[in-house]
Amino acid sequence: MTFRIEDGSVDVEKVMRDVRERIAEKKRRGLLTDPEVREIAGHPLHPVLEPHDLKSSLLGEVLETPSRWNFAFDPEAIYRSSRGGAGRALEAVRRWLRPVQKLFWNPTPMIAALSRQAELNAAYAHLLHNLTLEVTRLSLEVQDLKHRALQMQARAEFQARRNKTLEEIVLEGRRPPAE
Amino acid sequence: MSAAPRRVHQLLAALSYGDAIGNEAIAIQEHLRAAGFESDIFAESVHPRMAHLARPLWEYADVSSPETVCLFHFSIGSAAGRLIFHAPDRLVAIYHNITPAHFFLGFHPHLAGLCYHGRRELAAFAPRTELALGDSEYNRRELEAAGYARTGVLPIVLDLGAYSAPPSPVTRALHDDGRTNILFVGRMIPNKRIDDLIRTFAAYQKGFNRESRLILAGDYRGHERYFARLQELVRALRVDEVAFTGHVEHDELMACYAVSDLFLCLSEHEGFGVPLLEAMVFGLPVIAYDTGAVAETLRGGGVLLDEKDPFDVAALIDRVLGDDSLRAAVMRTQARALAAVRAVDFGALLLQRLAPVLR
Repeated sequence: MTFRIEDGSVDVEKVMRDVRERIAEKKRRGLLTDPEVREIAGHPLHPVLEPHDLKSSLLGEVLETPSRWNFAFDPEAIYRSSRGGAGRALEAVRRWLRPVQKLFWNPTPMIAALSRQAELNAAYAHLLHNLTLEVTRLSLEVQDLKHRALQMQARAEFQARRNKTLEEIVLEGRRPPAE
Repeated sequence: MSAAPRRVHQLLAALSYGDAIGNEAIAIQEHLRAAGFESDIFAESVHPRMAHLARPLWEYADVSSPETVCLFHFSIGSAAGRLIFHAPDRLVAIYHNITPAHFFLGFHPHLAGLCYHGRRELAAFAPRTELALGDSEYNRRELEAAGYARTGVLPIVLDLGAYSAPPSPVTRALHDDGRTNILFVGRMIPNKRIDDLIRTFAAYQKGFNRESRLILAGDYRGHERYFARLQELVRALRVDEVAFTGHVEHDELMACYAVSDLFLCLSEHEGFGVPLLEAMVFGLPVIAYDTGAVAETLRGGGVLLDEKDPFDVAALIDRVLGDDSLRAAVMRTQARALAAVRAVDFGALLLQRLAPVLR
């Protein structure tokens, strides 16, 4: 850093050398530490997020590819095979044996439950997304309200000091003059 | 051949009390009337204390004509702007600058939008305007870049008499306690980089002078979120005695100047900077970051920074306040600058600048 002054009597370079030397000396003597310097110089001023402007693309992304996180379930799902030509033959055998299988157990309640679960999963995704969004918005609003409370507190403190000064001025005026 | 115009009125969005633009409008009116022109001020909103000085905007229709010269103090998204754009009057724009939108992003998105559109609106006025005056060369160059053909500089006039008003005894007593007071005057908005002032003051207080105070005299209404972030910064850096005064009355402002030891400005966008001149009037050494019209406003006075590392600036503040010869040199430059400001005959300059439309 350097500076400009329109007066010939000032040696700007010397002043800046002295300024830097002074800072270095304070560091040497431990009056200023590097973490302190970094904290002061680098502390950011975070931008403010508007709660109602908060948008999330998470739900859209999740719903775009349901096969990655949910399963599509229908009455035929448990008989399907993913083994190509051999799988199709296997599916035909399973279909053919289905009445026999039904003699041993009833898959319908299980099919109904799993189909319902797939729908519930989609509903949970919506719910979770909305809850997360609302909680984030609420936390931003809480932060905003906290700031407002602190502003009011600072203002009240300033006014209290002002009133105190005013009182002192009034009392000063009423005090009898010194002999 | 048509006769020279005798009616030169002014139009502005708001005539505020103690505001530099309002004061300039009043000074222009006084000089125009003294020169024999019929001259009124029309404003959309008027501060109650200024009510006797202005006429409501809707009365402008009574004086509007192709022979009337209208001095329009350009401001963003105002009804006054829409009115004059479509009126038959000869238009002179007076430009006090529009803050670039990016400063408000993240703190005031609505205002960022208004500023963005304001700059587009400025360009739209160019073909409609006969003459455009900026209050600094910096502003004049912006007008030129926006497409204005005929431009000039009409600096803001300082009512030096107003600075001899008695300072508020309460504000004076509040801050006059032996601490070194560093002052900044201006609205608490992002382009003024109040955060840099706080960082620099933190460095000064921690490294050079524990018995010090930063007085930030300026309105923060409408910018509460930015203001909250500033207060958060003050707490995070554990700085004592940062006084946000909020809006101050004239006598309180006088007291702030009277009790301060140095004026520090680290703003990153200034179209003019009246407080820089005020600080010089009050004999405060000025240290300012060289940006926008700051150097031009200071007219060679004060200390201009090319960067603003908090510790370097803090050490420089300490040096200016502690080194009598450096301080005396700064005060000499400021005395010369003030003499140059005082030498300006605003009335003559105004008529000279308006000559192309008054002939």
